[in-house]
Amino acid sequence: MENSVRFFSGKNIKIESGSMGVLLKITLPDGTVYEDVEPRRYFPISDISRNISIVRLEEDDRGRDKLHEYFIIKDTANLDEDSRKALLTSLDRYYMIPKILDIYDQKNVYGILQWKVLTDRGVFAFDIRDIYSSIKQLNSGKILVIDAYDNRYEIDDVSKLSKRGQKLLLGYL
Amino acid sequence: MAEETKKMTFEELLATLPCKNKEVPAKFNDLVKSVMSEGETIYFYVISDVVLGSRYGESFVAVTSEQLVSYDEIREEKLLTFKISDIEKAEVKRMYGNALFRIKTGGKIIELNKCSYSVTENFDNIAQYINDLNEGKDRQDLIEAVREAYEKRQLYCPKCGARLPYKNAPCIKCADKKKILGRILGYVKPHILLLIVALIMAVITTITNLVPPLLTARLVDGTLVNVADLVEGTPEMESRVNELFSIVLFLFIINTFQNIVGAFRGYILRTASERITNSLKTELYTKAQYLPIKYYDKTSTGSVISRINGDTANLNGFIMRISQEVLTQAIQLVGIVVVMVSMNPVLSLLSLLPIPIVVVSAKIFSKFIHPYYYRIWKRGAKINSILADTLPGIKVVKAFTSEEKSINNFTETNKDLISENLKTAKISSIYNSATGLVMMMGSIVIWGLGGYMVLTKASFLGSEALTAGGLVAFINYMWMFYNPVQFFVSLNETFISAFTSAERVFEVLDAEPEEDFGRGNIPEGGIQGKIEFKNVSFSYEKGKRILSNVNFVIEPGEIVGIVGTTGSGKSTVVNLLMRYYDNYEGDIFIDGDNIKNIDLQYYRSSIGYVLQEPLLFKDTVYRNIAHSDPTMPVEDVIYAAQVANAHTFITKLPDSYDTMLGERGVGLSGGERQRISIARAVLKDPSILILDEATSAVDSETESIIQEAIERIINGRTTIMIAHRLSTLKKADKIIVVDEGKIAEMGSHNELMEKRGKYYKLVKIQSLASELGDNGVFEG
Repeated sequence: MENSVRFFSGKNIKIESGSMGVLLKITLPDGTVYEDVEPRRYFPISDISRNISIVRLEEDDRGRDKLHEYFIIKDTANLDEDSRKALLTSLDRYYMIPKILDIYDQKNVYGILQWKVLTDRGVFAFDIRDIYSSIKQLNSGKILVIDAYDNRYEIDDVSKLSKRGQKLLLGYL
Repeated sequence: MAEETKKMTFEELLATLPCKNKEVPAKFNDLVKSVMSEGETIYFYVISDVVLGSRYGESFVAVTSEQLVSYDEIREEKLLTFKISDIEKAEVKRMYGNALFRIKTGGKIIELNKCSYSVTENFDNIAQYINDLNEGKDRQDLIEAVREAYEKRQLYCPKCGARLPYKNAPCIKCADKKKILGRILGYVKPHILLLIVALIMAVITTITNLVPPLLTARLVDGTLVNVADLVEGTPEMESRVNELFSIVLFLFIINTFQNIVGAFRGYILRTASERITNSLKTELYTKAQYLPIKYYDKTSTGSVISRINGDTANLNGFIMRISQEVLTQAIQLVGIVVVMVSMNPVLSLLSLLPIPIVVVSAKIFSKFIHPYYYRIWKRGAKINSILADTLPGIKVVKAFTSEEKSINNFTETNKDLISENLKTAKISSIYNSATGLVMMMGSIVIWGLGGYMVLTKASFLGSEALTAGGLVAFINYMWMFYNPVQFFVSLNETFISAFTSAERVFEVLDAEPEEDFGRGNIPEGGIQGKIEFKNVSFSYEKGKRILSNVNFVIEPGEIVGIVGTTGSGKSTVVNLLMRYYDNYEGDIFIDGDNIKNIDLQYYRSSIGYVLQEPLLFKDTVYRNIAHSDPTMPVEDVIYAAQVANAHTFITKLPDSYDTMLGERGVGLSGGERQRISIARAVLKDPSILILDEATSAVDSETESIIQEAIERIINGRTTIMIAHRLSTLKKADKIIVVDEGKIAEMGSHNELMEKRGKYYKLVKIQSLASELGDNGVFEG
């Protein structure tokens, strides 16, 4: 059996930003300190604020990345304000899943869907190659969009898009 | 063999630079030039799409002959420069949905630029260039490698600059529609005669279609007019009756003629259509057979299947429409207009009134309804996938008592489908009724005005006075007129849909096949079986090296075991030996010949390959064994089955060698399936035999039966046995231990046990497992 990983609720854990943007220094309730560790989401799409795994990325002798997992923080809501902020900043740097706030323009050119969208990270244009499998409604109701380069985007709530945006999306759900 | 291209001089190479992943804004160019010294040249640009704050924005990296220039609009110090020789390491850290380009200089790591996945590979090239250059590799070679990588990843059309949807995609704007159309119609050429005959028949029936309304007009206006004044037995009455029967007979002849011609035409068209679809499908399937495995790594087999089935049918439909209906519909349209105008120009003009409404509403409706049909399709596909998952997996469903969950899932999706169907039906009904009403209003107007003209014998614009029969015929023509109009309205959509299918079909047809299938050298005296791997390194994906500098020699007739943990690279060794992938570094030799120079078809036919999961085809047992050549003598096939310990169980099957196997060999146990696949390999009489975990999925008793068969067939052949269970390697002359893509150890069992290295550890682990009750442990 693989080594079991410990779960922590998040209470009494202190998280500080480390030397680089993604790296963190974490002090557990028993005083153990982990430096230069990184957070990873177990559910990067369906549940972004819970089950955060704390890992360290190490290089093996051939320069390949090896992941060492230390523990899991069950819920970021249980962290104190500063710790949560440090953790979320790190996660925000690692994960980039822009939230689509509106669809400005859409063209279907020979089966390739070209979208120009407004996201929480700015305006961006991208292409969707396989429209049949690249726009998915998840169980949570969120929409996951995957572009021709495997970049991911999400739409939290279709009803919050403009009327035109909703209409453009309608055919692909 | 590929023609050798002349290497560019460094000056010629410089003239092709800078390489860029997209157009470089003048502002960026000025910024780089502002920090360059005299004689410095810009080699590469990477224009990124994300800035350091993980927002979309402007940033770039430029590599010159001397330095690395990085710009990020939100960084405090927007422009940073580094001497390339001062950079200790450049790397790209892949994150989720984005990546970070960073360098190590002066012992410090500096994060320079961020990007989305769309640009990551360009940063990879730059990082590799810097690291290799600082390691002292040849600058020109490195620049050429980056240039080549950039070109292969062309994101922008070199002709018009339009954004391409994926690497090297054909540019939609520049695609020569005529060329595509010409290529589609190329499939018509062999069947042109049939189509011309069908077309002539269609033209004849279309023209004869115009006659019946004129005959009915004659009937109403002449034959059946003023019947109250007619007296039985008079010549007038007789003449009317004769005329009536003549018209009826003529109508009968026309209808019979149309139906006979229609039946012939239908058959001819079906023949041409089947032949065209068949040639398209065969060409596509043939190409799919010769595509390299790496093509299927990137393209799902489902997608290729849908191209072979769906897209070819769509193209065939288009060919039929274009080759037949365009002309007949045009003839019908012109014919009807000519007849209508000649009957009454004023009514003709009036009857055109609903046309703009019908045309515009059809356009709007087709755009509007398309998403609804897509939603229905998507839900239908979901239902299919539920069925495909749960019915073949019924054992799992029952084992986990998830029947209710499956039913609920199915019911919910079905409800969803019904709801979408009803929504679509509602919209379609409203549209159909509305357009029907508009057209009916048109005919009502014609009835009103035309009727008035009949009653008052009024005429406008010099037209002849309208008769009752003329009015009836006119209204008939008017209804006929709407058909070709609707056909031409929807023609553009047909084009778009066909071009989409054409692109998908041609993408497969134009893909690079395995290079030298049936075109290389055939070694004199056949293959003896000496295998040599020389400095072989390989990665399926860039950055993830699976094999690193692998070297070994296997002598002819040697039995060699390859062992290692899961993911160590064992199967990759076989993948390269089978030439499933050719893009490795180093060389692989067979009897001293580089395998890339040996005819691929001949080469593979000299290797027997037994996989862990035997793949049996939906065919008889006999044809499954004789898969490589169904004309093999029966004696040979039965002998192969006997060698594989398969003959006895086959003869107990209800139809013996004629037993039809279901998909993936359903109906046989794992061991039986494996024995059939071993018999298949035996029948090939290969010089080299590869057994890839051939006994790992069967129980110990079956394993010993298979093992016995294997021992019989490996005699005198170079045999490579990949095994988890070390007990299967009892007969091995040599054991190669692969660990993380490298050869960790090599030698006989005794040598390796004495060495007390990785192999020793593996044996000990399995011995421990044996003590705990597991089976199949090496006893040595």
